[in-house]
Amino acid sequence: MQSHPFIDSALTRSRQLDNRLPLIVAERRRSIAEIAREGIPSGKLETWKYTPIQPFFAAPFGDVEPPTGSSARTHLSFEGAVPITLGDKAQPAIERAGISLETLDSPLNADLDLTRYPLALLNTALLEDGLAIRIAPGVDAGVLDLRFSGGASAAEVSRIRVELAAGSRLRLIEQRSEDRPTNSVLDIRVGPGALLQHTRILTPTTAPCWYLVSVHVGAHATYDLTGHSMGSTTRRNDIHIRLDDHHASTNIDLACAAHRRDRLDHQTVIEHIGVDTVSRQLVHGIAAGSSELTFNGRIHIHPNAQRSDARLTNKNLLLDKKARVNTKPELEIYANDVKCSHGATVGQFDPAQVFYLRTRGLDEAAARAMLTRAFLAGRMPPWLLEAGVLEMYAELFA
Amino acid sequence: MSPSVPQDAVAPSATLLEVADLHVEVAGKPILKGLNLNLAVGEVAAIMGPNGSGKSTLANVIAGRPDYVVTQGSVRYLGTSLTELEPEARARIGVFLAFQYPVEIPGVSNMEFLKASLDAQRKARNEEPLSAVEFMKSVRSVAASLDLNPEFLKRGVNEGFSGGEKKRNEILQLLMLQPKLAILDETDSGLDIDALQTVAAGVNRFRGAGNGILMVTHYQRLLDYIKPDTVHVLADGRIVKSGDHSLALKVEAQGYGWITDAA
Repeated sequence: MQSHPFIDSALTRSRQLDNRLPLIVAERRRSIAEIAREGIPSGKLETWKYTPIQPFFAAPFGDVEPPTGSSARTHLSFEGAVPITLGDKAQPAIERAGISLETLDSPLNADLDLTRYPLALLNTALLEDGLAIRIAPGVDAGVLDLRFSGGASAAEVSRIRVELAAGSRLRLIEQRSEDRPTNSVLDIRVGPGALLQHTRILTPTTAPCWYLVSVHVGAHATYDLTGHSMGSTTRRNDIHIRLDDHHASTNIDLACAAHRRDRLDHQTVIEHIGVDTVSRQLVHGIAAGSSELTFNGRIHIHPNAQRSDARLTNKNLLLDKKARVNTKPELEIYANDVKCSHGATVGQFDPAQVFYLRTRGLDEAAARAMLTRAFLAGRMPPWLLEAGVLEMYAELFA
Repeated sequence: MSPSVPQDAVAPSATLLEVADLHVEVAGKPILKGLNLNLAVGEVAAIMGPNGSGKSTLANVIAGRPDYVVTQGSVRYLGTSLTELEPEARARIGVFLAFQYPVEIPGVSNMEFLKASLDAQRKARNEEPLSAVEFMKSVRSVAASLDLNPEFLKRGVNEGFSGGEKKRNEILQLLMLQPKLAILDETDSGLDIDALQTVAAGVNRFRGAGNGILMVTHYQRLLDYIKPDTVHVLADGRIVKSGDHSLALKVEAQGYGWITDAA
């Protein structure tokens, strides 16, 4: 066992947390032991090429006060959504039958790929708060608005388990505005024929934040993700989707915008495991100032996943000379009857568009601001625009 | 609004646009080679000429396209030199270009774009922005006059528009912005006869004693609907022949050869 100041403090912290989530104590112990045994990764890892993993292990989880001056940002309001605030002991009772909110239980990590995501072990060891949302078979659960805020009671290490039983539906909105080191896992299982439409809005933070969305999608089930990630000092978003069974599908639509010296790193792994599975990924990035955007999109088509259909598009807009974009598709295909395409672009404003706007009286700055908005808004559904997501981006470029 | 350009009190027959010995390069290649042209307030002039003669270059350079370089000569608008002004400054004092190929801007609605343009121009003239209600009323009425469905205003700027819709959208902007100098760059190209009549009716509605129109066109057909006061033939970067509407008819009947050979 290696001795390391962070591991020592994590051990202590882990023990302090036993009374918070008593059902997972044994799993906590195993996780912390494994971290101690493996040690903190040193040097460069291929999957952490542009964003070093080390700061995510060094962050002083649990004993930080929110930075002064930062307050919980206002969350957007969505019509008909039932808000659930994590860390809030007085959860609103969910009136609708077929929706249950429960305490997290063991086993926590049965559905996660811990080899690929060692930070999920840290999440287990230091887990402060969590929730299991379960939707009963055939139930249309409407809209749940899951809020993570920067208030003093909010956890920096959290886990949400979402289970949709066969034939159920849920629209899940996830709004995060915590401005502290964060390690958060969303562990999702979409049962046969079920539909989960997930919208996540990540507002700017100044602390290293790691997020994992891990999803298993069953036969004829669909997982859709619309994600918005706004400039942060260091944020890594890992998204792992396994299309386990036949006719499972997923649509990923991500937008991210960085400025100043932000580092935003999105990594998707889509595994086509069942036959006739479909994945679509569209990732739009804007990099301003001296920021750096990274996108790595991996598509893995397993040997039996015949007639898989995978598409990946990554478009980036560079606003300043010092801004940087790293984009890489990775295809690993073991079946012979598949459709798979990928494309990436990195560009600046189209001078013809800028000129057109200027000939109508808009100055160059206004024209650029309008085109930046357009790059993000072009694909947003009306309900998201109406909720005010664009205005949140506008603050970033103001 | 630049204080040197009195927008409201322009005497008819005063010179609106004065282009003198204009030389322009595009990507290092000379396109306009000493072009002279005058347009009076209240005048409608057609610019015709063979492909590659420099018609579109002239239209774009007056509007201020950044990559078109003026190497010699001058462009004066109501006495103000345009060549040092940014495109938006030209727009704000009343210069308008209806594009030959209007660009698509997905994600910006036509309405939002029009309102922002109008607000920017009104602000430059120290005028209050139109209220949303006034604006909507005005834009709906103009759109209807051009046979444009109101739904069209909610779509992205020129996004997925047909060729005819794009051109009508340019005329919509012309009518909303009410410039002093309108340059129409092949506004007739790609239009069927019905759309051509609608567009021409829009331009004729705009036409007035207080403004001027420079119409770049390949075909005399447009001039049947928008009668020009003068017709200029442009060849190899210079105006080589000027006349009245009969010149356009002669060009249509005989082609450009008789003019360019003589020049």
